[in-house]
Amino acid sequence: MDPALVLLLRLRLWGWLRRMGRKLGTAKGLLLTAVGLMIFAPSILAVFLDPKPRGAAMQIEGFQRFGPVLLLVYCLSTLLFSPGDKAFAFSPAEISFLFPAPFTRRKLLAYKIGGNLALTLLMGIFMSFAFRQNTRFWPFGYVGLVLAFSFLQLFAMAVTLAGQAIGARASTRRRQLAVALIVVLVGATLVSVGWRSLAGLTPLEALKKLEATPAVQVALAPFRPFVLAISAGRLWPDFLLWAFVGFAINAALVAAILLLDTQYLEAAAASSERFYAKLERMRKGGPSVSSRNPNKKWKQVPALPWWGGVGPILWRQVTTAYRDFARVLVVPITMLVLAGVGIYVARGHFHLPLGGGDPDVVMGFAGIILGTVLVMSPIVSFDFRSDFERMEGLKTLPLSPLQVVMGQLATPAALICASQALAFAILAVATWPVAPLFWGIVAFAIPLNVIMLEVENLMFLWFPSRPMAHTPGDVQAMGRMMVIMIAKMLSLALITGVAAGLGLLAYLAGGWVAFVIVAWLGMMLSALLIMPLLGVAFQAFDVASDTVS
Amino acid sequence: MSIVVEDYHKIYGETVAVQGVTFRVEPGEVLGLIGPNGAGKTTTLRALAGILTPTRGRILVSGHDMATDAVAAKQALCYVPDDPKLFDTLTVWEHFRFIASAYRLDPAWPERAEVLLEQFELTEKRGALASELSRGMRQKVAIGCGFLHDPSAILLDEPLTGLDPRGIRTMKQTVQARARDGAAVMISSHLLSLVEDLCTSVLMFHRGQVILSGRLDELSRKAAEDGRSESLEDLFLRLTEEQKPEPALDAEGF
Repeated sequence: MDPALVLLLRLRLWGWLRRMGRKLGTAKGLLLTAVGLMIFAPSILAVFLDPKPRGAAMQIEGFQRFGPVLLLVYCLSTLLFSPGDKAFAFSPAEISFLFPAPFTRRKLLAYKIGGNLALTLLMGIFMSFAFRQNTRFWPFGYVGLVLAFSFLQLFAMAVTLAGQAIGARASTRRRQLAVALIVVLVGATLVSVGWRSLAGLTPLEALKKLEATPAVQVALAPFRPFVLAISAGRLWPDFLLWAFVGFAINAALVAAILLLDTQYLEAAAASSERFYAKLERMRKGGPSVSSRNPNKKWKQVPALPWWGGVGPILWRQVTTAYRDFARVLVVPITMLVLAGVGIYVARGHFHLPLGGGDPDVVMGFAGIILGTVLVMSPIVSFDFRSDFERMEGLKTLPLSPLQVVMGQLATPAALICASQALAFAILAVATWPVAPLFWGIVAFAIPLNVIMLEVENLMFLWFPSRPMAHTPGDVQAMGRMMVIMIAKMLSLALITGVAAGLGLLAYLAGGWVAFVIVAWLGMMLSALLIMPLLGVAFQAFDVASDTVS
Repeated sequence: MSIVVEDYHKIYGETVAVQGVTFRVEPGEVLGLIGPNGAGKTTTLRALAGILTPTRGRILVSGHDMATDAVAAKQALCYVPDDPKLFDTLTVWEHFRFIASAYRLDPAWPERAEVLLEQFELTEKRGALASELSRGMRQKVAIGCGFLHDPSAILLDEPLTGLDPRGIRTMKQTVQARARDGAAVMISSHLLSLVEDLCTSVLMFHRGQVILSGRLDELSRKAAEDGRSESLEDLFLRLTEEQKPEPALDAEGF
């Protein structure tokens, strides 16, 4: 690698450590680091206290068997879905300083590989804690994981360069079609050959049988060394042999990448611009997708009535959600999938006529659908959370804080409530009749969704942050996430706890119906009471704060 | 000659961004690139910097062909984009240190870097992280880094964006001094008064084609001979508005 590029990597590493150090100098930074480290403290301690975990033989056996399959699937998906230039996401600073500088393309490739390796070395530490149950000795697991992740990155780079070498950018779709065709042909052959022998087996048994066939064994062979190195129990021959083979595979990929050396700068610059423009849009809270055609005619959302000042704010968020339809669609699809699974588990089949099924299972799935707000809330952040850069504008509007709050929260609340209502309706119709308590669960959807969104927004207004790419190992960022998550959960637990407590008192007097009514009223009252609190938080929000999480 | 562009074409899919552009910039010349948004100015500068590959045509910087001898060509040039991005975790001085290493500068580079820091009022900011600098400061750092290796070809895309009045004056003086010392300079800008002040010649782009080129003094003289007294702004508006609206160029049409 060019000495100047080595110097740049060193300077960037030092710069990252320096920034971490500066943050540590503040009480907030120290606290967040402590919380971040606490997440990994049990794993770190376990490594020192019990470097050779026992009793995980079954898990390791499963990992050794199916780990190569996962790597194969990842590589196939890279071939199928790689947009052709994704592996070369240089940062804007790298494009500004390195592309016009006197470096050959190979030197820049070596720099990219070196930078990726440095990040993998860091990321491997944390991943090795997560994978600990699949390893017999932590150091072997760490080295094996670094080799495996490096392999995945190098494979993606090699695919990109090979694609560009054969006229890639124009033929990305053709390449994907060709690979898809190969996958279909191989799949069809396997199915036709092995159909009889697989008939009557459960999916897991069929997968095990398929995995044991010679053809699949050959396909998995290049991936096996990494898995065997991660799970090695002895230094020699297990670890050293497989780590060496893994290293040799990676070295061959590096050689292939450097030999390919195609004209990638333009594609990389364009790809990086798109990637960072998308990041910038997300940072500002715009739709995460955009048209590459500047002349595209976007469909309009009809203007909403004034609605006491809520209408214009609501219209803006609805328009944003409408133009980010792919993201929005995740919510109803998830709910419908859950409803489908619920129907199947409750009835044991999808056959007509509708109706019937285990009411307890139906209730369980209704509860799961209700709880999805915890996961769905960040997906539909068409509220304050995506308006970090527009808070000045919101504050200058001739509206009261309460009007702004209601307008901001209405879109995500409506999206989640509507999706849940659809899923509840399908679940109820397919498994009719449902238990009365099912309707109790349904009734809690509105207050629970609103409260969850209120708490999320309250936390955002009190501890503002905007999404940025994190360096692996940024314990302060992890600590921050942990603190906010704990605060959210505590707030939610407190509100639902009080409502449940009131409901319990009512239950003693009037049974389940009284419990549901009183707890529901308690939740609705809480939802209404938090609104002015959000208004105060919005008013107190300091637009000069520029916090990057 | 320092910069030579011959029959440069740039085509994206079915859209022609630049079509058959030919020009040269001699040492000591300051060429202003002007034109409406999307006319092809930045595309041309990025090709000259080696970031974009021409679909057709040839680009030479200090006698080195960008297609076959890119490293030597890049060794001679400095390119400052319209919104230069710095490495957030590096200090101002570390940016200079990296540039010195990248361009294999002699051990005396810190003295030149100190002069540039002084010129652009960055001396007190030498230890500041890039993420702590204002937009104008970051622009100054990028320009300072670009000038550190004494380039013989200077490409500046909207160089005054974000600069304060003193920064603008320093920038103008520095560009003029570099040109006097023999550098070939190209400046892309929408500030036509800057182009009139600073540039010796002009290249006007419109829809990917050059619609006007020549020395500024000659253009003024010709206008006077024709009995017109028009500024560069008047000329720009007249020429770009004279062009009839046409459908976007496509690859088949050229």
